[in-house]
Amino acid sequence: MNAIAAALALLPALGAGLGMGLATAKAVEATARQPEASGKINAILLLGLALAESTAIYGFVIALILQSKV
Amino acid sequence: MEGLDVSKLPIDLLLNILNIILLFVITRFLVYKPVKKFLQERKDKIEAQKQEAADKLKEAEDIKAQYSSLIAEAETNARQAVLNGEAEARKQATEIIDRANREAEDIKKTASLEAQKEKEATLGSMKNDVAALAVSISEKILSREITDKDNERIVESFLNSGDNE
Amino acid sequence: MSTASIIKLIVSAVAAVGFFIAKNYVKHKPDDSIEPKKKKKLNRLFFFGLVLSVWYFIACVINEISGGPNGIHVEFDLFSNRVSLFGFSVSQTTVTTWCIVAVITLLSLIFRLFVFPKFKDIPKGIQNVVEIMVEAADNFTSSQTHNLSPVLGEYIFSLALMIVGCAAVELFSVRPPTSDLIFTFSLGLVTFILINYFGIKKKGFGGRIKALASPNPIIMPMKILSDIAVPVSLACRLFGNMLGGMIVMDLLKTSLGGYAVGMTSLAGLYFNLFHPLIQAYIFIVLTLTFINEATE
Repeated sequence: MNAIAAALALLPALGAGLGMGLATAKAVEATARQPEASGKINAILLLGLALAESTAIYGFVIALILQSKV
Repeated sequence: MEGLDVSKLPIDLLLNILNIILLFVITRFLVYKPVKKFLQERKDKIEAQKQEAADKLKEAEDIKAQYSSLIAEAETNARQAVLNGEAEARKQATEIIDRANREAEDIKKTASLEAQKEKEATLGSMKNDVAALAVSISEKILSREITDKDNERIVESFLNSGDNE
Repeated sequence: MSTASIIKLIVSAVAAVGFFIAKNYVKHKPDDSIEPKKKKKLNRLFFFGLVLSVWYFIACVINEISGGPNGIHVEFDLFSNRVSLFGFSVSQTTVTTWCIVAVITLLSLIFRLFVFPKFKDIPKGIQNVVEIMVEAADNFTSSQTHNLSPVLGEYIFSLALMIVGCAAVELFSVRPPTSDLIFTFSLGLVTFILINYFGIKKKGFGGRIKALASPNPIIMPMKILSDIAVPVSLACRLFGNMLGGMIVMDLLKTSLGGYAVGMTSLAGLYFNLFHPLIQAYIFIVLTLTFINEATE
């Protein structure tokens, strides 16, 4: 059962991937609209991506903890 | 979980926190503070230099303003002096001309008076000469001696006719 | 030393030497027989062949020495193993952290004694780098927290040095301290202590509790929970990212065996250099954001 739980704990990565894709799409659109601000947009994008990825990482950590209890 | 030793957890946490604080203290005193002090000193030095440059610039501008005002003053004074001199010279010129005119008038007057006097003197002497000539001529014509009375009588009548002329 | 492996070694060695000679021949030949575009293409082809054959040669040598690839076999511990030191059992991350602190102390001593007295007014070289680091840490904290305290800039500087040091240790295939949940949790605890310290210093103890109950006292438990979740989330984020990177690199090394000669450097360029730096930047930015939020 622990194995199934560990596998299910990785489902939040779906939301993370979707959110990061949307954020990158908006960033690309903003850069296309104003190419001079691409440095700032890059920095903000990296910050936002790393924050959005953290929920997927929490799921990963839970999966690791569950996997070692098999 | 393997490796997780719950009884040693607080000691592990404490050791790690001590390590972090140790690194913080070491980098603070060896790297951060000297570099920060150096940057501050350099900034102060540049600020002092800029301030000094601004002060010197202000001083130079003050002196320049002062000198230029002095020059302007001297220029106006010079122009004024030139104008004054011109007026003065003109006044003197008219004075001299007036004086010269007056003197010329005086000379003319005295000259004319003298000329008049001389004319009269010349006329008198001329009359005497003419009278003598007339007597000698009449002597020769009359071939006789003219007595003094006859002489006087002729001369007077001649003079009177000469005066009437 | 089976015949197959000897044949592989000899063939790859001969191919390497052959490509090398062909490359030199094409480069120094008089130009009238081959036109330059074809010459450049030939040159590139020979160079590619040279690199491949040298790689294969070294991979075969390593495979001979250490046995072939192991197959995909993940084997790691979630928490690092304990080491016994002077009778106390200390975890390996603590020992690694001591080594990192010792190396940084040595570098700082060398800097202080030899480099710093030679500082000039117009910087060049190492002086430029150090000045940029110190000034960047200072300006960054001042801009994010609106000039709260100079101690904060120094702490951020040492924190950045620590996390970059952990990324550097990973290059030597030692288990980095940031892939240990205990270590990252202690980093999160220090952040938590700093947030509360500055919050209480700026607003007083009553002010801090009032800020927890600010729009409506009913949501106080949720605010307390979200305040506790801050260091936990910081710790988990750093730990998860670093552990993920370490697992991928370990997989690459164990499953490919000797054939992973050049590929670990290329993959390590991302997983050991770029990714930890971004996570360090995120950690620092979040720390400063929470401190700023607690003091305004």
